[in-house]
Amino acid sequence: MTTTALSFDDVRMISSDVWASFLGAADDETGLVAATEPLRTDVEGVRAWVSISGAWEGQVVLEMTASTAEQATVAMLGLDTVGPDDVLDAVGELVNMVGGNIKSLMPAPSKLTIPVVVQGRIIRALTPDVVEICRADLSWGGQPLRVSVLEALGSREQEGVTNP
Amino acid sequence: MKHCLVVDDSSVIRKVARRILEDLSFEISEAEDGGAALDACRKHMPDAVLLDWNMPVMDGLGFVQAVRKRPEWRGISLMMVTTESEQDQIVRALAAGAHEYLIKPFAPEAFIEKLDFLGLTPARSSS
Repeated sequence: MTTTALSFDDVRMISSDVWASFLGAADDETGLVAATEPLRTDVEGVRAWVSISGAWEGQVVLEMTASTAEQATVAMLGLDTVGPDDVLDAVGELVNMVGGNIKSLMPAPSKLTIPVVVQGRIIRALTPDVVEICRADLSWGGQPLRVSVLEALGSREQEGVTNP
Repeated sequence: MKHCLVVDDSSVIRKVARRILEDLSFEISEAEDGGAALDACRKHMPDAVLLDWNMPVMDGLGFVQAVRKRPEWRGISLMMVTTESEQDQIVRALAAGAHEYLIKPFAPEAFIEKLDFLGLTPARSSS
């Protein structure tokens, strides 16, 4: 039994809305699609997350390669070149929008934290106190990116719901 | 020329908003959080403030409440532009004194439409 059924399509549609609104990626050619090749874990990338606390507790994580992050920032700002700070800020805002909209599908009330963004080698490491309840491996212009939703185990116990 | 203060801790969002507002011939200023926005209002009172909810130092709701305590700032139009989409939060913001509420992500057309509702866009002002 789970507190919330969050599907791949939910996450893909929310992410697609963000990409369409802020990156002009609205059609089949430029929009987000399911990835044929997931994001590799041995590449330089950007990892950003927001935490949600309240009736549901967890994190929404967005990961992409450094070059994808730069391209996304260029598209968001409509500029030819962008700086490193712009990239971190842009990816933080992307996960803020994706996370904020995922929060709306979760039990309320809850609060969203300010995004945290780190740059470096992408790793897949989950701490023992969370479980990944949804992972969307997506592709934008042939470049892979990943949106993961992690649920804090304590969140369910506090609600009196049995973990699966 | 209408003066719009854009308040968001994300410089990217401020730049995106600036790009849209410049096309509408607004005078634009920016602040990173609610506290800096209050300082900006003291120096140069804007016609409108577009503000995020989740920000460090002072959040958007705190800013709205602070503005509404000052009668001399009654004329400032306040629009929340945020990812917070729970009905309870929208009600709280509007009850505190926000005039409009726009949920991110937004299409530029929706952003402009909200400005139009506030009577801030040239098309609405001149009609």
